Amino acid sequence: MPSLEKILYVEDEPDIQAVAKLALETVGGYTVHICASGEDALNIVEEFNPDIILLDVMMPGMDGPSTLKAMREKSSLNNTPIAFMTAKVQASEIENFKSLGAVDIIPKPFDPMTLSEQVKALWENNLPK
Amino acid sequence: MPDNIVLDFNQQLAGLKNDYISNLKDEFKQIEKLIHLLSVEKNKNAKILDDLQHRFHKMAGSGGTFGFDQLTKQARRFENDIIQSKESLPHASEPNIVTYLKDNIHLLINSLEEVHATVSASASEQNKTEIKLKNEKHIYLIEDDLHLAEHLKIQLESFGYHLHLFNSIDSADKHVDKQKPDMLIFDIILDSDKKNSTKILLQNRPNLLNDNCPLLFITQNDSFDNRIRAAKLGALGFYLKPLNIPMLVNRITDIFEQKTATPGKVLIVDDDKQLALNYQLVLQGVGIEVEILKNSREIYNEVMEFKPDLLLMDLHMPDYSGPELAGILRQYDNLSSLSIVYLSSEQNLEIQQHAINKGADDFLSKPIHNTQLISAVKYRINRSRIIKEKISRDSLTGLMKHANIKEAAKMELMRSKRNKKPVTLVMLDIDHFKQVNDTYGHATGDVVINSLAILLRQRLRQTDIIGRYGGEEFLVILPDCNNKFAINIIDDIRRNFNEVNFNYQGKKFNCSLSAGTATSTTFSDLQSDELLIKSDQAMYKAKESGRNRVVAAQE
Repeated sequence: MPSLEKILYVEDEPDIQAVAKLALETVGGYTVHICASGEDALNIVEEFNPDIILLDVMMPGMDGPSTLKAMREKSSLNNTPIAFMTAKVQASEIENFKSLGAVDIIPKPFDPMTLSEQVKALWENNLPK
Repeated sequence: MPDNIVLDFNQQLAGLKNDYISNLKDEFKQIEKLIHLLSVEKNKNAKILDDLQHRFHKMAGSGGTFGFDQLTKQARRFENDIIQSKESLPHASEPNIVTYLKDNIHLLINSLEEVHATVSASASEQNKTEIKLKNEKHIYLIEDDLHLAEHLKIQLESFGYHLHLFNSIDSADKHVDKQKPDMLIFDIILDSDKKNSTKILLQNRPNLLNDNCPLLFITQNDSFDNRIRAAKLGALGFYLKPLNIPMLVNRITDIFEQKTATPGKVLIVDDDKQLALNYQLVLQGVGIEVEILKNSREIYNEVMEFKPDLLLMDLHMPDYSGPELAGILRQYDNLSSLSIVYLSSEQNLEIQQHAINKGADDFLSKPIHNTQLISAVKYRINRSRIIKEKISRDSLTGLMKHANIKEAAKMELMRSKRNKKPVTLVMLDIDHFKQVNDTYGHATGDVVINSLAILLRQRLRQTDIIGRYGGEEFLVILPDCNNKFAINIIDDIRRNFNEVNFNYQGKKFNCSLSAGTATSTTFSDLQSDELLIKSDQAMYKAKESGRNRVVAAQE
């Protein structure tokens, strides 16, 4: 059975970058790579080869949805689950995000104590069949 | 997570939280600037609103991560308001949202003050008096008897509470968005609604009621039905008219102090290290300080050093069992108030019962859900503190007893010499107290003494030490406080105390106090007993020069 090891998180806000990295590395024991923009993420995603990708929605330049779209065009990422982390969690918006190809939403603000569990659960629910 | 990593994690998290707060301050300045710009450069309003919306969105998404739920809530509300104003009437509503933001930005700033308060409370106690004033408690009083309402308002405001008066449940409910209440007080019989407020509240559950907001009832009508409905609503108090106001204020103060008390300390004794670490993490998550027993043979020393409020102990352990260790602790008189609770997967009721008989207070079953663990531990910490306070404190006022406060004065003076910082001693005495006792009886006298105790507890910092020195005499120790600051705060308390209306069988009266302050730096090298005499002499000077005043001891 495959295991979750590497997480790519795309987020422009430094405070949130730092606390997410701390939470996922220390509590969850994962290897985490943070990118500050969608463009950066696209440049390194194939080389880093993450098990799961987390995207902020509102970012300057390439926002979350357009980053997702560009990633979905890379065939090497076909089996990599991609989720949004966002403060918008209305049902209609969640459906919209899912129709773009996101597997799920992790609502913000997240709890640093439980973020790892959330990501792990999300990954387990979306194991390639 | 191993022990050292847990510690490290918490430390790092605290560091990130500090960074977040300092960034937040700049962000607030930016937001205020933008809101100001809204009316100055009207043609750029649409762009500025976009910018604001984005900033609120970010804030909503990050506040709660650092424990600032209020901030998240408020920012989210503003974000939605801006979105709605754009969607509904793109042109007509713009001025509305501009005025709205201007009028309501203080709500966001209020939540920042909460942020400040939590940080400053732990970082520095020095500014607490100021923070407390800003952190004023808002109490909603729903009472259609205007005369009583106004009277209560004056009384409660002299204790520093901010009272909002409403004559119906509806009008109170409509105000909730403007100012969240910290406590609700309802009269049960509201004539204007032609109904009983306990019934209305049970039927409608208005927004105003929420689980975190303490609820009290006042009424003329002491009936079982009213009391049972109040209990169903989770009321924390039920007071009969004519109201004994100091008693009511006492209860209100207790409720608020419980809400702000530090969350307490727990020592875990469990041979399953992994499980113990898990409990530690869960409890630390809600701010409780947690240590895990390292060596069973050192249990007494570890308890004495860490001074936990509660011991959470496994029943079956390989070297020494829970009941055996509890038995050892119970041999020490000074640990008689320590609360011991077993946490074990033992299912046999007889064994459970036997274990409790051996010196423990209760039994919790493993596996235990995190939220259940937290609430069980919090509840027991609370009980254990109440018992501890009862033992070491003056039974009437809850303040330190005579011997303890004198000892504390000595320690603080020594410490101030080491730190080269001033300490101020204040002696306070209620004026003509004997007359109060003679005219209105001792029970009323006790109410007066208690009212002053409440005022002192409310208005001073947590690091200040307050004791009941004699019958109607109080000693206050203000560490790290110069004479000017001491006089300001004590004179403020004096004024408030003088404004409290006491009531004896419908007859109203007021009391005053005289106080003398003595600051260590005014004199060269005095012992604590000598400094105490200086403050006592200053207090007598205050009495001689007409009472109801504060006098500072001069060199």
